[in-house]
Amino acid sequence: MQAEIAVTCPSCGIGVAPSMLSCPSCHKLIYAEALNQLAAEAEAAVANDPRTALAAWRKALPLVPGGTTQYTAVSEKIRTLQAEVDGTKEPFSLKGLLKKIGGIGPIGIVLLILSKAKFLFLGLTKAGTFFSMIVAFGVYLTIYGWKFAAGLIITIYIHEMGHVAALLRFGIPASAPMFIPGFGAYVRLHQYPANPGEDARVGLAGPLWGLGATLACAAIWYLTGSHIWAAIAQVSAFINLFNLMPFWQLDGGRGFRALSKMQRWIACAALGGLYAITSSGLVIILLILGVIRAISKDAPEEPDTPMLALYIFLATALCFLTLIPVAGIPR
Amino acid sequence: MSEPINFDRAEYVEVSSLNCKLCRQPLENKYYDLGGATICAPCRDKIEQGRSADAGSQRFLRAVGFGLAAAAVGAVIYALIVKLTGFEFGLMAVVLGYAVGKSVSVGSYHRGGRRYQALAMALTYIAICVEYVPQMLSSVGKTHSAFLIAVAFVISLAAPFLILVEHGGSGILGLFIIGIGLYEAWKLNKRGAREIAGPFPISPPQERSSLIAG
Repeated sequence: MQAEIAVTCPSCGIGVAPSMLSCPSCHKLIYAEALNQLAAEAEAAVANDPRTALAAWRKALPLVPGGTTQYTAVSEKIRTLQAEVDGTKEPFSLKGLLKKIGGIGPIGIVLLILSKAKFLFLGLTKAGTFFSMIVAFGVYLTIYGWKFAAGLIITIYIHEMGHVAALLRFGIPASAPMFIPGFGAYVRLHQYPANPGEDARVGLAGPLWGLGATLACAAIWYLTGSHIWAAIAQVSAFINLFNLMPFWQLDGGRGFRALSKMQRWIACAALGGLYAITSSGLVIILLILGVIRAISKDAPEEPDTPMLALYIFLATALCFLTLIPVAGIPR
Repeated sequence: MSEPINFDRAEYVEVSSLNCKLCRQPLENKYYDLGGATICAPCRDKIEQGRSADAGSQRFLRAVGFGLAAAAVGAVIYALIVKLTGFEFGLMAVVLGYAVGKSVSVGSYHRGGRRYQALAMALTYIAICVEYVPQMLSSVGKTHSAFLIAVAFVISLAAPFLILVEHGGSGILGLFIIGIGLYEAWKLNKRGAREIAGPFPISPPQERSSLIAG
């Protein structure tokens, strides 16, 4: 029995499966009209408004089949425009970053943190985020007490806003964070990142901001001696380290997507060294999954050194923070 | 200004090898669409045969086998993670629900329906609860008879509700997390979730090679 045909090739008129982006017989692009419209929109905006041009090309990419010259060309347009929107064409260097931090000084660092803090309030203006946060807080409150529940919710929220900040930077539309008690929170993407490099940067932004939140809690514990802050810091470190698992859609899985085969093995070696020092059970799981990813055949040819450095840095810092001594969770 | 991109026909860099997603063989004259996956006629015939009413009990046994295997592997991995980390992760319930649900779906040739939904949910629940067995056994000594293991297994199935009675809030959270895992397994075995559309015609590979870019 022939099911209803969802799409007809605009060129040769034969039926095409709904999942196809080009006709298997004549290669006519099924969404040619939409692609031409988006291309015209992008070309009209590119001179004066590169963000609009970038958004148009990002909408176009999922409509183009992979393995085509058109896919390569659109990907290149996105890469070039993203660099222009970022305002820099310089490759990342640790030396450059340290020079920048040294240049702005301690006051500059405080101002930078305050500007990020202003951004953090943005998520709270979304009703869905706010109410799901309240529900999750209510659940944790009954189990752990209000102080720990509040700290846990805030650190998870900061982690998710890290993802939102990275998505905004790339012009990828996404939902505000939604909390699910027992699971943490998630951000739903309305568009996929254009390449593994972008995916990795969006993915690892969460644990990076989460590390910031964890360090802040650890610093308060160190200064005040209050055990509740130690507990929040330890659990926050654990949650962010868990998210670094190179598996499925977890943040570590997305980070690993950008790493070449050799880089994945280097990351595994780093995790192995970390386990040797800390004997952390969670690091062993990261290592096992990392080895599986290193063996798999989906590694890109081109390395991504900044993401490798970031992954190793995050795993190391978070692992050590999970060792903060906590004697139960004080209510 | 750069040259505009031509969006008339897809310009494949290599011969577009359209392969069946299931058997990986090249597609010849026609193909079918199975919920977004492109499959060949022989695979489609195999699935339709497996879905037919005549194959009911054989199909169910196949689904049980696939589901049990996924539940067993998933339960072992979950228990290892809990032992290594000392934490029970809510996400594991979702992963188990997905793995078991998917396996039952594949085992039943994606037929779906209440029977397979119930099977997937039951196996998922067992896989999640079995995680309590090692914890129970470790509290009663080092050597365990088969009878003791069987008793621990039966008690583990009631564990989420016993935790609810004992701990209240964390018990409710635990049941909520298990509920999401069960929902995942249920969703993957809905009737009609993966209908087969087609056939759709396709030109032979040698004709397609004349359309390659460059």
